[in-house]
Amino acid sequence: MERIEDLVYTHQQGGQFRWVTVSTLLLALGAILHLVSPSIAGVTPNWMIATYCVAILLTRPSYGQTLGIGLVAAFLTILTSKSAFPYGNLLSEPGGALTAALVTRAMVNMKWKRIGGIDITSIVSGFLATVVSGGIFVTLLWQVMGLPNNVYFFVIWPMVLMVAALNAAITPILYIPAQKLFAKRGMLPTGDEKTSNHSHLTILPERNAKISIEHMTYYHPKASSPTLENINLDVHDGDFLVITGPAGCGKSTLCMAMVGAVPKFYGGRLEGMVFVEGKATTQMDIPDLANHIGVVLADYDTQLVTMTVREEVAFAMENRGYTRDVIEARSREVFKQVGLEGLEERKITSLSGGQRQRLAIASVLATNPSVLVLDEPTSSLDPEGTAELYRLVGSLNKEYGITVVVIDHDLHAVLPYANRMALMVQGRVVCDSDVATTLRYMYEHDIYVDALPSVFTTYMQLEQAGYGSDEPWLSIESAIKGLHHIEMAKAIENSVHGGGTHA
Amino acid sequence: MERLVPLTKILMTLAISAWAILLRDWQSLLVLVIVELIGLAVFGILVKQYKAIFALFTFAVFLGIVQFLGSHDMVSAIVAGLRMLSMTTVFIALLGTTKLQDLTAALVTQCKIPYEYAFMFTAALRFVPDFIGESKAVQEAQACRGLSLEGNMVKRMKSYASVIQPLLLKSLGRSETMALSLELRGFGGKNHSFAASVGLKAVDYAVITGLVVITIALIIIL
Amino acid sequence: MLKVENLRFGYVPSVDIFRHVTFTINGGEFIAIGGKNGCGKTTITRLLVGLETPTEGRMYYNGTDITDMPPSKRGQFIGYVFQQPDRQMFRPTVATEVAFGPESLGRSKAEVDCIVNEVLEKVGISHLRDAYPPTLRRGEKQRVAIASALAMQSKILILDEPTSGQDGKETKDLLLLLRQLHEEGLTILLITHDMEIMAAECTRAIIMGHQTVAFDGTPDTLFIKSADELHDLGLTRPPSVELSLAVPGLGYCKSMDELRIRLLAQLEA
Repeated sequence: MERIEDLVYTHQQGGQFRWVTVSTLLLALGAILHLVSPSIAGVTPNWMIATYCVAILLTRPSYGQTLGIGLVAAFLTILTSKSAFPYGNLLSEPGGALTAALVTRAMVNMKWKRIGGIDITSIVSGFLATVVSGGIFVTLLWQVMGLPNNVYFFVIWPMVLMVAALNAAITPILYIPAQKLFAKRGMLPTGDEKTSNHSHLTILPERNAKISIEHMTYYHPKASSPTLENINLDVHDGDFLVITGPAGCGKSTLCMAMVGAVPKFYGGRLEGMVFVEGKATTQMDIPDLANHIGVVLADYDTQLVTMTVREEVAFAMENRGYTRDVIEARSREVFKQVGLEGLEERKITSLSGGQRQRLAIASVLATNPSVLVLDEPTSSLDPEGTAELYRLVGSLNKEYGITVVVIDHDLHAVLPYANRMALMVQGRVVCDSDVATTLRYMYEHDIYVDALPSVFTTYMQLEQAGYGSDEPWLSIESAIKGLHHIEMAKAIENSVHGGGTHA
Repeated sequence: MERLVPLTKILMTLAISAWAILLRDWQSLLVLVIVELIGLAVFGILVKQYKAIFALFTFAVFLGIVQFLGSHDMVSAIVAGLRMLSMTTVFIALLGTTKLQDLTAALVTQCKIPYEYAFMFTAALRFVPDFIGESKAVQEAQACRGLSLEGNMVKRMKSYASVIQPLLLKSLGRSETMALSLELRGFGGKNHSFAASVGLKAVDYAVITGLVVITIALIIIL
Repeated sequence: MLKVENLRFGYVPSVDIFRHVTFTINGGEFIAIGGKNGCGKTTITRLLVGLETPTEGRMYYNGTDITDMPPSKRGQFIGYVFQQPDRQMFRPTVATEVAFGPESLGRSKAEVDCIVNEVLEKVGISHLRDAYPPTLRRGEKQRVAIASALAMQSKILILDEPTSGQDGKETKDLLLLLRQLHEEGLTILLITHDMEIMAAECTRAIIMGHQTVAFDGTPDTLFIKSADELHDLGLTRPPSVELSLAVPGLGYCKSMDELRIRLLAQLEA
């Protein structure tokens, strides 16, 4: 059996679906650029081709994946711009994509790929992909429609070449900034980091808890100082735990460690261990962990990936192969839990921010996790939405027995529901106790005091001035009680004191 | 139309396209186009999709003109225009009456397109309105800070370029969140199922049989 | 200074968001605009800056009718900070982002540099001038957005929910900045859901409700209304007011600081 303090696990950065998401979002971008593109003398660049060239250059998908990307581009063109010759697109876009991939591969080791210090791969692939794609399209059109040869050679081909020239210009305009961003974030494929294997080890937790984080230290890829340092924290069944701390203290990173995304998605080096239901997270895959722990990311909007509310909730269940009946029954249940009944057929884009947040919660609850983790859930909600959200999360915790972990900096609204609060500073947990004790710790140690609810601050100030209450002011009600207590005490003191001088 | 499963409609689209290629005289192509338009009208798509249909008409006319300029033959120009129109109008019927969720399920389970690609297609469509919103937000911010777009072409191009870059970078930033979310939600698992039910029903078999009969008949007659 | 008369507006022609909206904003005011979600508080400010056109009614700036003036012209006297500041940024560095406004107005290079330096200094982000805006913290982005609006040298600054999503420290620092700008003579309109800010910082509250202006007056006359009346408008009493009502003889307190000082004074007396 392994000593937990000695465990080390490294993982390379980036998940396996980057090519999917980068292509998806870039193609969506291509579709809208196409709709609003200005034209030069009646000819517009083909933005769709340019965007898939960029996606292929950035993520280097396999040839099979490349054909798929081309096919998706074709479907999108047909659907968004009502292509005049849909069959043409179905062949021309995969052809273009394949050309881009071939050019990218071929030019990796070429000496002349830099001219005047500029990498011309994007220019060449933008041009050739457009020539091939456009060529296939117009040739099919020529054959199927029986167009006259002179028109095909002397009108249509020059137009294809003009568009290709425009694409040679716009592809680098899109690619260069994207490439810079990828390089800066370490997202370009490098392959120099190693991934450890823990599957042969016997790793048992020291403590018995739903989630137990033991002696955990974490370094981001290429970082020399740790983001998290010697964390020991347990989450028990039925807890409503709030983790707070100043910006950059590592609270979001800690929550990503609970679901294995640190280090399995973000990369880097993990020392010590995180256990979920007694199992080491390094011995489980992210989707398996997600069966136990549902996560709503801070950017919950991007977490939503389907067209309608109903599909979104079905998504994770479909991925796990649930049957149709189970999906239907489970969907009905979570729609009721989060109060989205009646909105099932709505398009996601027509929902308000608060509703999208609820939907994100519903979609992770669908697979019935016993823990719900919310990363900064209120950062784009107004106070009303925040109060509603915590009412919902509070009821999930109380009525459905779901264990809740919330990362937040807005403490005011979450207080009535939380039973524990952990405070983090510079990658360490400095206080982990009940809510009132942690708030008091923050005040007394002058840590992140601006986040304290104003009512609680006043309570502490009054106590320091010699006017204590019998219980901490965590709500308006307890504050009113406290005020009456202070007045009463003062009145008694006055009468005693007054009585004293009288005598 | 709504009662047919997507696969039937896909086959119908292919069949009508095949007919459009088989038919060579303008009279029968005209009949085909009129039948399609009546179909669209009956299923209430004609009014909803009038813009798209108008665009197809424009393109058909354009194609006819190109044909005429190249061949100086009025009949072949009309045939080309009508053929184009009959092939594309049916796509509007397909897309206008099918829920994307069902289309995705049909493409994956019946047409054997790998799920990843069907997913990318619908997910991209999901983000299109968001991106339009984002680009509108940038344009509004620019307007509030003194940018006037009246007339000047160079200014418009510059403003367009300044909208693209932040959109691009933001969407790349989002791609990481989305990739994580996909992992968390078990994307790429081997046992994928679908909530939508797209299996063929009696009416579908009847329609498909009809399509096959007509297609074979046309091949024999022509 | 800015006067609106009988405004009526709806995104869909037959459905009005509000009608009969009339008010005058005077120089040097610090106004909170509040109300329920969907009551039209963001919409009314979009009309003020010209991003929407009213179906009825007129707007005047210093007596001039500006109803048909495009937003690009109004930018010279009204600055607007959108709810999500990162959505309004589109340039590679903070300095060029802030420079966009004065550049569009056709100022010379030297003038632009001078303005940019001045406003970055004023909002306290001179050290971030070469940073890439999307990588900044929320509070810093908010400041870039404010600097961008100030660079237009406008007289009125409208901010849509500037404190939402900010943590306690960022909110506190932002309010400090707004107070300072107000003291320097800027007129401020703040769309906010935060009752503590409305009570403590603002000289006037305009509450949208019932498809028109439901309340227009000082925060202290607003918050002594009954809880039901406030609830009807989507408002609640801020804690300081609620607590001050619980202590006899304390009087209306607009902030927790005021409450504490008065309470201690009362107890020591």
